[in-house]
Amino acid sequence: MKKLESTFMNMVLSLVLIASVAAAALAAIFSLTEENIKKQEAEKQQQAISYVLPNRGEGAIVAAPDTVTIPDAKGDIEVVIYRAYSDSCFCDSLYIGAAVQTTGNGFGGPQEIMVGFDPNGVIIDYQVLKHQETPGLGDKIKDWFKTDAGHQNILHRQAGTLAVSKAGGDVDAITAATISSKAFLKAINVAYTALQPKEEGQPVKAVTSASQIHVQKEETEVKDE
Amino acid sequence: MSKGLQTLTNGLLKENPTFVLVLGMCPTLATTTSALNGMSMGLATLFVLVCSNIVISLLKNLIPDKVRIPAFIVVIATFVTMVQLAMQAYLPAIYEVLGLFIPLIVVNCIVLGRAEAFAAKNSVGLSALDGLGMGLGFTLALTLLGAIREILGAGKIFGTQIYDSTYTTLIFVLAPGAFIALAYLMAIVNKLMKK
Repeated sequence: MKKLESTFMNMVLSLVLIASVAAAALAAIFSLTEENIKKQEAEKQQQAISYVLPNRGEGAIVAAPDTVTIPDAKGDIEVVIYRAYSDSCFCDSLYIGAAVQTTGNGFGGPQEIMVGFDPNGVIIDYQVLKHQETPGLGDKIKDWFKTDAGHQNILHRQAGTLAVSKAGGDVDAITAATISSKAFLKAINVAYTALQPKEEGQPVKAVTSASQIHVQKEETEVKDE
Repeated sequence: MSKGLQTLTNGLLKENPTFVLVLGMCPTLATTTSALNGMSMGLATLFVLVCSNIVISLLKNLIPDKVRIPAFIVVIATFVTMVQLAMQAYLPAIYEVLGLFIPLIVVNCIVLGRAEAFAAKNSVGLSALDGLGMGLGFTLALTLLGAIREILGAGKIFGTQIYDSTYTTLIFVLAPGAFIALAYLMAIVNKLMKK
């Protein structure tokens, strides 16, 4: 077959054709995989909930999720709270902790994090569900804050005022990924705020930690694309 | 057949996309922070490169010259998205490792470069072999660069600690280290090739 001439009609036709076939193929693949992807995500979420609860969720009975919206300068943050009890009466005295799904405003996009607290607001463990941070730099949020080295471990610490050392806190940020680190810690603080009992008629206060004020100064993360 | 073999080996050394053609520098520098990351990016690119080379070679007579670039990009982007969705649904464990790299492939100029320079002029079989060869060459280069940076910067190789991390040079994990390591590698490869 001879190559098509570059006439206006040919160009329009060929591009429309290619784009439609591509769109149709993508739509087909999307509908084929959608169910599976949702299932994988739900499984991952369930697994993460028990992972971050005390004793890895053993014997815990998780109550129906509770969604709290925390107002923030960059748009409201939706936080989903899964409270866990040691008995199915869900009485306050048998409350053993909560798994909280929170979102950080990361360098490459939203960071979805599941973090577990004991009844006093001490962090038990966390798991990153979804993120788009730079491979090799920002993606270290997965393990960095639970590794014992320097001042980077946040497990077994009280949440609420965590901040990186550059922003006046005492948590070591990930090398060359300060923005990802700040976003992560803020998400944890937001989760803690969401967990606090609301006073009647008073909106939940936004977290304004030192980490927010200093963000403008140090845009130091390396990204190469 | 010897032409097929030549096409396949071309990408490995003689026209290695990283060291000789110097294409696709962004993913090369950005993702080679460890040997595993480099290899992951290389393998993901390899897959897209083979698929897009085949399809573009099949479509080459249907695409008028003046709109070939947008047409190629649509084909490549479609493949990348398909790979991403399929991997997410059926291979979640691999997606965990590779997921972040996949969208980066669309902007990798090796893929577009081979579509333009090879697949648009050659038969389907040869284009597939070219994609395979170039992809392997890219994977090799990225794994090598990643390994060097990981050894010097983190004291590890494929995640296994080989010496005390107190003695590592952090700069090799960061952007400047990528340029330094790449430059030395290129110099060595060029010296060896001249012989």
